[in-house]
Amino acid sequence: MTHPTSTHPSAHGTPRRAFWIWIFLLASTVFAWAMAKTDMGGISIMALLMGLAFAKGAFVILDYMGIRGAPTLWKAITLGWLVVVCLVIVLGYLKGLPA
Amino acid sequence: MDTDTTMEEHTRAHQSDLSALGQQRLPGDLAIWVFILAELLVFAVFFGAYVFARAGDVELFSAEQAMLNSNLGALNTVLLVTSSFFVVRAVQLGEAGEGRRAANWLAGAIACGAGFVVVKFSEYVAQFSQGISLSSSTFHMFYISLTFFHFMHVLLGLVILVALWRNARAGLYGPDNMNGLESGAAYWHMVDLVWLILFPLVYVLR
Repeated sequence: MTHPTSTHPSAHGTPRRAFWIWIFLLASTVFAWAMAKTDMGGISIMALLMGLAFAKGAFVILDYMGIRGAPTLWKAITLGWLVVVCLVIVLGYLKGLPA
Repeated sequence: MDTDTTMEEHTRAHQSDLSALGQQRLPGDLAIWVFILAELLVFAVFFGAYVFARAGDVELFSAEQAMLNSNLGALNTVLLVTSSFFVVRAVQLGEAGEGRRAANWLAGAIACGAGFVVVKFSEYVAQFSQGISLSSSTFHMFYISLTFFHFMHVLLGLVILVALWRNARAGLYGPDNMNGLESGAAYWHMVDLVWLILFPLVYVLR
């Protein structure tokens, strides 16, 4: 065994994975900022923004919070929160569209 | 870089061991997760209320949203995701038995969090000096209450990060003592997670 002996389970992935997730988080932030600066809107932009928000949230929950290694119930609760929040935002947005 | 590569190998080997054992574990203390869930539920209600209030008056929300400074909103997103990355690196170093090195990453996270506070505070000062308040409009009622509620969480998160930094400097964290570091880290990531929804919803969605 070449790694430190421990009874503590690792749940936060590798440094390399954490780094690339950070790059993704930064890149999608730049995209969202560009959408705001260019005043772009509409269903497709909303879908893209919320899709990215979901992906960002899922990475933070699973990798940064370390839920990937947690019991299934905790994965379901935390990711379920993210799914519900994103769906509610999409539904609320669609409700606000002109009839 | 060599240390990082070695740590990467350690982490992979460790995860492989865990996978073989089929172990699953909630990182940190159960109590902090109950607290985090309660906070997430409150924010979910806020987000739902905001988006359905917006549906009732899209023109007002769009007009007043256009007055927000999206540059500062994006800058604050960069600061929070960067601080989250620094915190996860600190946790990984703790797991690898390099608890004292974790303190440097936590210091970086604290600096980013403090940057968020400065930027958000300057945004509030600019808005309040224009006479904007909770009663200005439905949009501003939501904007101020939602972002200020989040702002308070950032402040509490910073207090927690400072405590983690002090403990890390004192060499308290290691592979067999990760509970405090993981609990505080989970809280800070929750603050980041909420902002990752709040920013596109309040500043960007047209």
